[in-house]
Amino acid sequence: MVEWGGSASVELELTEKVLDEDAKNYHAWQHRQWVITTYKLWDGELEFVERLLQEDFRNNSAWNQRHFVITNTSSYTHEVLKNEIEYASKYVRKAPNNESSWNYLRGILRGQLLLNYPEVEGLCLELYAKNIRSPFLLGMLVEVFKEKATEMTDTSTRQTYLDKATNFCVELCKMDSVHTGYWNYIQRKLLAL
Amino acid sequence: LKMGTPVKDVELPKNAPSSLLLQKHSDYIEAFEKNKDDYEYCMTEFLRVSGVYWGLTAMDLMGQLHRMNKEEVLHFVEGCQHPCGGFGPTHQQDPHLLYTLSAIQILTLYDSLDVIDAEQVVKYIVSLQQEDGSFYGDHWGEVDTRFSFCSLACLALMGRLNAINVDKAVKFVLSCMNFDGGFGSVPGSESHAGQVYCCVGALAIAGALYHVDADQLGWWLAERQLPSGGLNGRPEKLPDVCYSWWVLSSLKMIGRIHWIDKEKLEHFIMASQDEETGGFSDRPGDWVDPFHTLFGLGGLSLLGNKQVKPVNPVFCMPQDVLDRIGLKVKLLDSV
Repeated sequence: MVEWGGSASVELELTEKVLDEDAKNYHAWQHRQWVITTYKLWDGELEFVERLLQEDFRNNSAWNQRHFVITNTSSYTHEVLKNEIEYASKYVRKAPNNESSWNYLRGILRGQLLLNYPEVEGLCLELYAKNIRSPFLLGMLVEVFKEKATEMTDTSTRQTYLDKATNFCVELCKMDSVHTGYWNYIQRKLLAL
Repeated sequence: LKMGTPVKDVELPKNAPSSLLLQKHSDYIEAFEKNKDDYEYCMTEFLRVSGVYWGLTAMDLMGQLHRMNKEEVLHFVEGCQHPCGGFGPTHQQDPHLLYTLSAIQILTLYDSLDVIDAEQVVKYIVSLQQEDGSFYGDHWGEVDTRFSFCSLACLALMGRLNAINVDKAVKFVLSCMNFDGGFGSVPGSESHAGQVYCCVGALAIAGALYHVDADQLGWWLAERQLPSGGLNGRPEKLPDVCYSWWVLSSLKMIGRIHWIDKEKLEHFIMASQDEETGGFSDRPGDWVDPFHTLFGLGGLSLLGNKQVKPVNPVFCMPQDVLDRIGLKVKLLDSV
């Protein structure tokens, strides 16, 4: 068993060496995941991810690894989710135009009611008030207000929220003109609500 | 306005080509296949049959297939098949699913499936499917969703899809779906546009596209477009012409190709042509190869360029070839 444990940590070290040179090497990450899963070397992996994100928080592979570890250990319980929202928010604030941190935040919130995590709306409004206009931020604001509209029974408040969401779409069509096809679609879906 | 930090991208050179240099490309491919002493030709021997598939398909898309030596190709492909049914990349090289698919694609292009042992190919593919529905690439046991695509595409082209357990194959592919809506090579692996193409293609062939979250995946794919107009394969990577295929065909299969700025992408693909040698490279100014030439032409075809034949987004083969064999794969409706 010691021998197996020995060779497993060697494998892990090997992937770390490769990732030191090329932090996004697809095969190294895949092999690392295999070693961790097979030899149950989950301890310390989140710290490894944190180190990589501190070096380059735009490293999409590291974000993917974070999701991989949590899914296979604690899983995304309510408490863990709140923690992860705070974690991702830290990096979103650092670089509001970086897609990886937003993709992670959006990804972990899939299937969740944003109502249960008001800190998300808080983060978005805070950044918007600072005049930040990243498409990921505005895209999230559309989601926030769309959900608020669908949770509303009062028709005039519902309409106010829908209008807010639609206005963000209009803004997005202008500032993220490469993706007008997508934002037009999102806007159409809002009108169909 | 605070947008945050700069994006990893390239700048298109001002004097880059802006129109399609069809004659140059067909001359390039024809010469590439003929110059068997050429350095690059020799260095790509380890994937020869795939190289032949890229060259022939590119020529057919340009309406120039007749310039290639059909007899020579068929003789070559025949010699790549092993008794187990699988094909190696060239003679006396071990068989693998990747090369088996290229071989079947070439034979379908030439309407010559009968020159090989098709039944044995089916047996070979069936032997590679695992309990969890995944596929080994060969008997050495590497698992990757690319091999799921190779298997399903091969069998579909031969009209033998039901030889394998399609439900389990679908189940495995779906287990590779990530939190961002994309797909990786194995469960847990990072989303990557090449893997997305393979997974979406496999699901399309299996009639299981409805499992995909088309809105979420469509957005992830649309985000591959950079300010230069080119597409990358995952966040914070440089654009590459081959992603004009992997990303665009995936978007086409899920009915959301219009989520890409077509003009800007076309501009990027055109700029990646080499005016002197012909052919396309991964990005403007780099060296050309048949791989990027096929995917550049394929991307342009999907964008609606009329100088190239319509290409099928699932199989990366001319649509008229699939029409000829009556193979129809339903895609998601355009939204």
